[in-house]
Amino acid sequence: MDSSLQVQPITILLVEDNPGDVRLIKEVFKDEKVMNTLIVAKDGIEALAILKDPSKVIPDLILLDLNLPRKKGLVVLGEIKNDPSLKRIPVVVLTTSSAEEDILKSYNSYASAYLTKPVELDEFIAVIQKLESFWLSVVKYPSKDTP
Amino acid sequence: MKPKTQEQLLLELEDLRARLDEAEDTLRAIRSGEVDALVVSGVGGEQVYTLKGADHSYRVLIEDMNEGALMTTSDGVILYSNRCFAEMIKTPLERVVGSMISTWIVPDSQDILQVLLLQDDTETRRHGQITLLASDGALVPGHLSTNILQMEETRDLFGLVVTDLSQSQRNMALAVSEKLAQQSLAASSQSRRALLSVIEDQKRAEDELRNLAADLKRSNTELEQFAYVASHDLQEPLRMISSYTTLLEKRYKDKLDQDANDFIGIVVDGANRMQKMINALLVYSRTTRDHSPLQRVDCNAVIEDVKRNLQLSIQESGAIIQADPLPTIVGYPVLLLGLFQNVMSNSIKFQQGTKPLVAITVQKNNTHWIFSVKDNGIGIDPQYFDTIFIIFQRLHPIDEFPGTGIGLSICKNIVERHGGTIWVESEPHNGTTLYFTISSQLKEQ
Repeated sequence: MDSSLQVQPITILLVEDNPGDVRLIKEVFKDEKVMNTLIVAKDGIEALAILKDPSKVIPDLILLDLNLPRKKGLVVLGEIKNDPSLKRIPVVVLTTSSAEEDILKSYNSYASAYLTKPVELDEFIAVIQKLESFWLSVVKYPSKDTP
Repeated sequence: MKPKTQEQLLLELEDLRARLDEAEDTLRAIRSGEVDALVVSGVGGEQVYTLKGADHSYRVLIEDMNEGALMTTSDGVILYSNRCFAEMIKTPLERVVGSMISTWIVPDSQDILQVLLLQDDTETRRHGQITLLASDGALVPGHLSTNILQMEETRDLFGLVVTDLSQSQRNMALAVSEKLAQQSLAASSQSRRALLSVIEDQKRAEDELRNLAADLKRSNTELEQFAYVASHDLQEPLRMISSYTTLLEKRYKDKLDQDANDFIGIVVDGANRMQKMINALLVYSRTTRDHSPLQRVDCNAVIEDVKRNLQLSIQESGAIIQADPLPTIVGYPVLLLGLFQNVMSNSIKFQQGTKPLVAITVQKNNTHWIFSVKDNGIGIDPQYFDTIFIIFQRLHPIDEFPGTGIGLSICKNIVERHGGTIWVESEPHNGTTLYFTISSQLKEQ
């Protein structure tokens, strides 16, 4: 990204239990020189704890895996969208599942987008690039100061 | 075993239930003496079991003898009476059957009756003097002998012989005729017992069939879930293998020698192939999981959709597709599209440099539409006619004809869901004609 066009780095909460996936996303972000703060939660319960902790920064964007231990992704999504202080945060579902029912349930629970993780790295990079260019560069977020 | 749809299973269950009810009705009717015969469906067709055949002679004897002969439950309900007893109490036979024996006996004799109808294994034959009460109020002195007829059903039956003692001249013959009558009743009970065991066998077979149907349904469901879950969960580790190997290649390409780069290429290729197979397995499991309603489907429109989906390979190969005017049939739209697309893409794919010619025709018989898709491709050796419908079975090296080898097993699944069959006619180098049938009896939902 051209540094002269550098926008304010945003904070992303990545909810992902698979360390391989976490590392892969970090590596791709690094290769693509995506500038942001990445917080990682290993499961749904940890994600909600971070989101509800007043001492933590509220993320601008949430990347959510569906197949999570302890608390499933769709449940986490539902709780975020039912919480007045969190519901405005865009949630992008990033999962292996391409099942119709998962896609439908996610949008019904107010997911902002549904992305499947491609097996091929180049395709995965392409997805992250598009994710980056849209959610990290194009989308306008509410200012941090407004309550 | 071929998977059955839930509808098929429900229909079978309904059929079984009806047959069971029928058997139970027959059983009831035989017990009450309404019918004399039972028709049982067996392996060699329907068989008639009849009481007449077994105990016709005994019946005639009982009907015509001058003693009253009865069969009652231990509660005293009369299940059978001969004409003589009905005449003794001056009551039409049809009113006697089904009544209580106690109705026809004076209050003073009721205690004796109770004793005679006791269920006691130590003493199966008893007799005593009682007074009958006829419907016109007349009192008839009688000798009553009872005999427990052992039945394997829930309760015992009693054979009763009543002798009119007002006809004293009959006293002499009493012992002889009583014995004869009891033997007759016992014999009759035996043939009834045989009938009961036939009915029970049938009931047991039906229970077994019902359990089997339930098992089959359960294992089908489990299999579908297994394929679905496995497909999803298998993708995760596969993605890790593929992604990190590629990452390795990207980052360290300059530092690795040719061998290392070749190996990386092989790993990535393997992972990609495996991923395609998992996706194919997902599609396969979806063809059994798809519970969308049956709809009217215009097959001409399906062919047009297929042509659009296969546009690239049709253009590249220069394939010519000819289709007869096709009917509108009832089926699952998405599955039918998958069926035609798989079959037609095979016709275009399995060629040796010739321009593919694909001809689609249809015929109809009483029960099915019969579709055929004929091509001018490489053909199939007859020894593989069955193999090609098995999941992941390939006849050619992957670099000659790419693919997972699941297409025709998906087709078979789809055809069977439409109550049809699929088969192939071909010889090597001489084209292939693939036939499949779709039931014309399916109803829109």
